[in-house]
Amino acid sequence: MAEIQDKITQLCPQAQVDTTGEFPLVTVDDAQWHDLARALKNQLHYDVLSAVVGMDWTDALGCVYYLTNTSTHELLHVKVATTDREQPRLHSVVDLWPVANFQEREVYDFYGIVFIGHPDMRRMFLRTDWVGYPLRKDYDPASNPLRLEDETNEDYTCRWVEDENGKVTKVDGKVFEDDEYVINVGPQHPSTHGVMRYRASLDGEIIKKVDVVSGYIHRGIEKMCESLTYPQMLLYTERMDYMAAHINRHCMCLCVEKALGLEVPRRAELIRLMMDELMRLSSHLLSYGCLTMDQGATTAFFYGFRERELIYDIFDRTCGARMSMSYSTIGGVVADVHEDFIKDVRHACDVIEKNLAEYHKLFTGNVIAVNRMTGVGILSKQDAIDYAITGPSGRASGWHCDVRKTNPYSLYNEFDFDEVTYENGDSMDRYMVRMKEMEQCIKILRQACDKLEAEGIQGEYIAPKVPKMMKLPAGHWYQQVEASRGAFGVYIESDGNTKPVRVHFQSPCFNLIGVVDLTCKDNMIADLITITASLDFVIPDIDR
Amino acid sequence: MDFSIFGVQSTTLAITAALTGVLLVVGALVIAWLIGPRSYTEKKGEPFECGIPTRGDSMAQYHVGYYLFAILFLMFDVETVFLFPWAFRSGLCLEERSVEMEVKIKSMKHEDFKDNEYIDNLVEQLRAGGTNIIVGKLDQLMNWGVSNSLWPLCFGTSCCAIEFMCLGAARYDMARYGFEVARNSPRQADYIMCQGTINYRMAPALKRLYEQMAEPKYVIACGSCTVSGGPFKNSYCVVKGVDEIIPVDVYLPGCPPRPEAFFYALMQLQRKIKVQKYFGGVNRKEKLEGLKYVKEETK
Amino acid sequence: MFDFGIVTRWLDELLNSVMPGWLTTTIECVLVAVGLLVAYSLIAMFYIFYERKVCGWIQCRLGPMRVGKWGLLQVFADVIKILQKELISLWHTDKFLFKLAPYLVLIASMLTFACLPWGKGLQIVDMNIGVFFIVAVSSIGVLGILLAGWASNSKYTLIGAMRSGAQMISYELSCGISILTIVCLAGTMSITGIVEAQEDGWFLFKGHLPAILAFIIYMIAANAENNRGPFDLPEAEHELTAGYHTEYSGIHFGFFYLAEYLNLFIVSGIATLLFLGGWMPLHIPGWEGFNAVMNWIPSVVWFLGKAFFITFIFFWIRWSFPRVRIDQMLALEWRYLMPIGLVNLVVMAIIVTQGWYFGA
Repeated sequence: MAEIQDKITQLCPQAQVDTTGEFPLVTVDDAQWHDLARALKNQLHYDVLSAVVGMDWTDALGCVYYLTNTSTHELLHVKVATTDREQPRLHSVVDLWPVANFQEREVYDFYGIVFIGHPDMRRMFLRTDWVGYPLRKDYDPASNPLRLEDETNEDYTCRWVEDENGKVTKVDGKVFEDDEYVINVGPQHPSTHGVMRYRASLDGEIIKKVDVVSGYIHRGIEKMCESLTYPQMLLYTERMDYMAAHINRHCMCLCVEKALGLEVPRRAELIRLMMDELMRLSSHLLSYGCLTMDQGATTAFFYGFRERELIYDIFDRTCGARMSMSYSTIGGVVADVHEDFIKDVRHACDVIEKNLAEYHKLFTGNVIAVNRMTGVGILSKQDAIDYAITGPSGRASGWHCDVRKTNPYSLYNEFDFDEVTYENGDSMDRYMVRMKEMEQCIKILRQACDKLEAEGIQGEYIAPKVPKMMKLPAGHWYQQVEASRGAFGVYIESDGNTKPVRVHFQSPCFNLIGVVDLTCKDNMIADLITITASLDFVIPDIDR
Repeated sequence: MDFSIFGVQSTTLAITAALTGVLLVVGALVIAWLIGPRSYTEKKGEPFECGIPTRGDSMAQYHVGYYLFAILFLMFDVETVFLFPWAFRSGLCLEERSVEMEVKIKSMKHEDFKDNEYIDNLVEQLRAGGTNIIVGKLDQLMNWGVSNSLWPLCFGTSCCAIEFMCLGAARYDMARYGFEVARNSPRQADYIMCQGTINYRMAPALKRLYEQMAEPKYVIACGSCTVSGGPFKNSYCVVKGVDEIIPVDVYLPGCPPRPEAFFYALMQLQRKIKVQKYFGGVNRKEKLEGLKYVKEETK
Repeated sequence: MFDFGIVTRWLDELLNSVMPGWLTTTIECVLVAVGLLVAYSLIAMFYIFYERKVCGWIQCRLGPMRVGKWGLLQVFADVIKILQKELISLWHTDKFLFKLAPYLVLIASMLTFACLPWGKGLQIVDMNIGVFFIVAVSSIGVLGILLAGWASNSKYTLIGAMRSGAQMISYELSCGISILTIVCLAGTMSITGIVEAQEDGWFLFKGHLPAILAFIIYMIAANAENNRGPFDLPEAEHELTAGYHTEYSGIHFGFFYLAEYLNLFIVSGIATLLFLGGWMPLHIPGWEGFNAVMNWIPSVVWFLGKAFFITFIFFWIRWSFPRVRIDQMLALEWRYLMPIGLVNLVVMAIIVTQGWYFGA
């Protein structure tokens, strides 16, 4: 950490570097931010912008940027703030990290911070006629009652440009020209992906531009978490990406446990890992079913769901619920597994492994499927890194980004499994990555079953002294896990009380929608469906 | 000169076949026009585009023949509308039958429905309403048909949608009830099952979709979020229960409800439909006056 | 085997003896019309049920079960429900075309329905250009779909209609060519003629290679003509919600739904007519005892059984394969099916002139 401190001080003498936490925290003014960002990216190789977390420190508004170095997998936080609450402005980093496009729009939506140089400064999740900025500490909830009128001005956008003298002006613009044939796909659309709305400008059957409009399931989870205690907010982690419910909840538990310094018994961690992998298996089966159904092969959907019922039975017996299991808790798990758990898991693994061959026969080898997916929606490795596309979609482009391998958490470094990557980054590769990852999940589960059996069927499932009042020490706490769709991160800023100052969930699916326009341009409408199905996002994860 | 069945010329029979086709369409349309309900709202007549108003025009110009045919149609329509109540008053369904106290659903006993009072109260109201309140054979037939063929609108916003998919999948198989034909267009769906939270941005879209559905239509509020806001009740942008926007027929709590609970809710909806008064109740025909649709300026 | 012509001729003479000729014809036409209506409705309802059961069987589930024993009354409930739904009229549609569309679709459907070889002596429309007439009339259905999409004034429907139009006119060509191939083998265009020419063996076996190729081409093209299976782009649910009939409600939509299944039956019926002998039982030349047993089964049962079997193959294809994209579909037709079909036609012509087929 000291070398990083030295290098940064060399690059930008006005920056302050704090190395007391888990990762270096750099505080810099907005005037030097863009130059420092460029240097961090080009010279220190922090080429992935993992998250942009907007913050309201009451006296100042700003962002904390989380940067990752893809070769050393080290993390860096940079805090940039402004004290101007009437017209807060920061410089945008979209030109360096394209993923910042949607991230900064989210910060603008919630805090009102305008990013100079951003090409499309519009709200992200809230209605176009929304008044105020909800995540500010002085927001009044009564300022926005339920409105049943349709939104207006959907084509309006603007940019803020700075000239050589530092004067900032607003330039109006349009998302689509008036004479373009714009079709609405969604929000009510028959895919499981949920309520996503695309406005696609068409030229016959070819798509010229896709504007992604999200926010139709935005529920203000992050704001609600600011008024809840840590055990209470575990509930929401399961309702974002409900196909990675257990994994997300595990992430939150790990983060809080790290902050509290709690040691989780090994057995509890093993059980949580097994639940994670079962969840991943169930999620990939669903993604297979929905991808095939979107392409027209409806039967494959039923076959995938047939297997998922086996996994749901295991969840049902162990946790009491099929979905949204509420099983992990801070310190361990809520209850021990039942005595048939290992037998059930082994049985499920055997059945699913056998049926994977059937799925390949039904769909993967089909000439129509191959023609529809090969070469469609190519995402290059550089684009994947620029847009921070982690998870199976990123690995299909050749980027080794599995958090279980790069920053192992829980007990993953004790297990022997492969990170599945492909080269081309087209829809077929994204599909195949998931199919192969299912085999790896089964491999991990079998090893875990053996370990659990060897270590005894009954044992400690929760840490002995879990504090009743959980007060996290003041500071920044962060944890990243490999959820079914990519790297899911939990960022907590605490000031020592039972309720946090800020909680941010960095969802993998949010980055995925950033590449929809990139991959769908000059393809057909049918390809839009194929590409979004292969990217496989879950909308509540995007909108939170 | 090809002679065919009965020794009649083939061309004559071909013309007969064509006329039969026309007769089929006309006959079915007449039946539907007579017995079906009619209601008008501004959004119902707008084109469907997934709950969002259309941007710009979809079509270029109108056909002049539209006016002529509209007038002809109106003439015949008014005549048949006047004929229908005469036919009914003259004795088609005037048998006085006492309303059955138990509204049975196949293989589920009356006691197993946990809220018998609601349906029983409905039945009491129907009985107490007056001498003309009857559930005749025709009503029963219509209600049987409607309750056994409920087509949902694909509308899943959040987690409950996954349980709905499990409901349609092989283990639970809602196709056994005939519900698997999930239509994507609200014009062709019978009920909308709101699965998942509705927030302030989605609310206008949901309202538009509901209004674009064809009568008779029903709503099932599925999951705690749609019943009351659920776990997101304290949020700044979540509708606290979908009944703030659209009228709800069945409330199904749970987070998410199990597929068995879904079946229970659907069977409750079936019971409710079996008790409804179809002729004179559900098939009300509203008039178009009073609702002036202002022609949109092309954007 | 039993010739229904005996019954119809008896009835005709009976009527002619008691009333003037024009009245007899009228009554007979009415009888035919009633028969057609009943058959049309019953077969449509059976097909809807058949598809849901077959689809359920392929997907490891049961399908309709609760409405009536084994779900047999399910489609009756569906019909009643659809008849009582509101007929929504939109504000800005082309109302004449909007209402005209189902007429065109159903007239086309009914006319081809009347041309099918129902049984011996049960041929309703039997022109000497029978097969040509079928091809001509089935084109009217395309118009109906195009009008439905255009008149609805909605972007989705318009896209669906354009796709459908392009698809159907393309595949009609392939259908026509494979039909021509068989006409070539049969030597006649009349439907009864084609059926009777298969008395000593079905064309699928008689014509060996070119006939089998024509059969495969016909199956693919007919699938596309019907907007079914891998070619259901115009109503691709996952892309365009409901395609060209999005804005139709109630029985208006019911007509399209009905016509889709009926067209499937009709297309299966034509496949049976051309390749599997129509109502002709399976005869193996030289096996008289076997042939006599085959003759004992009524011709109507033969025809319906064969048509249902071909339909089963269509269902199987539909529920197994993903959907093709519009450009891939048109490429399939214009670059593959059409040239192969033409070459096949030439090959068949050579075979017929040289007498290189079974039963020459």
